[in-house]
Amino acid sequence: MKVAVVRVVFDVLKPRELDSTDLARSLCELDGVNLVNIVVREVDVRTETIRLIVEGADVDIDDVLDKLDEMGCAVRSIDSVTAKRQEEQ
Amino acid sequence: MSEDSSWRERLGLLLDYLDATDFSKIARRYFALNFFDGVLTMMGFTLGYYMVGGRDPHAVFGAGIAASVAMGLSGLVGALMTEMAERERDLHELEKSLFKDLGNSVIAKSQRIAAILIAIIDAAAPALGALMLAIPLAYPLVDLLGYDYAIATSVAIGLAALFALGSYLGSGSRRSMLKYGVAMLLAGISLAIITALMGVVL
Repeated sequence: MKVAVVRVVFDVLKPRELDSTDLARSLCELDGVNLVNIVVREVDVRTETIRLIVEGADVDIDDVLDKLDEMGCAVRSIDSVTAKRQEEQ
Repeated sequence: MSEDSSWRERLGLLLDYLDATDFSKIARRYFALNFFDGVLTMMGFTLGYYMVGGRDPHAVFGAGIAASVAMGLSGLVGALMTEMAERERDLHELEKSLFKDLGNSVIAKSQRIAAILIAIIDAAAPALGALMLAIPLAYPLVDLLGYDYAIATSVAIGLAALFALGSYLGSGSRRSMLKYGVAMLLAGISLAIITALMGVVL
């Protein structure tokens, strides 16, 4: 039996220079990720608060956190995690 | 994901960041300003030397090359220090807003790359401008052209370069290329008149 994380919702603070599309594309290229959704919730002079939803067959939260760190984003919280048990064939 | 595509993705991200940091706008401005400086300085030097009676092709060519190198070096060091300091300050401001250290992020890397590229442009632009005018001054040394003709060629190249630079700026601002070109040309002609007067006075 294997349990995989299939959906994670992050509350993230990102620099305004970083385009949401670039961020979504970069995260979508991670192994195990199939879908990325970004919703801008608050806009400041230098930063934007976004709600980031990452979905996939097997999302590695550490990989996502590393990628966000590399891109200069600050993760404020992980608001929701969905895991799924994958039955052996 | 393969190593190759990961590199390509990182490079693409860096370029996107460079775009977002006003890099192209600043680089264009630095290039135009410093190219203009290089051309005008070299033209002033050549004409001034000629008008006060200087007739040694070795001296004018040697000093011209030295001036090109000096302008390039001055541009490189000056722009690198200024851009690094300014970009570091911006980065610290952003770190304060994000409550996060950005030292290893793509943002910090792209800011460093932008500073280095701008410094290279700042060094190359005046050196290139001055060198374009200095090259014809070498012709009398290899008996390719008479000294007077070499000076005239150098000045003509300078005026043409100024007109081309003005036209380029005009096209970028979507205004009259001719108007900008002529304005730059007038700056060069004014310089020629001033140096001619210097020749009479000194």
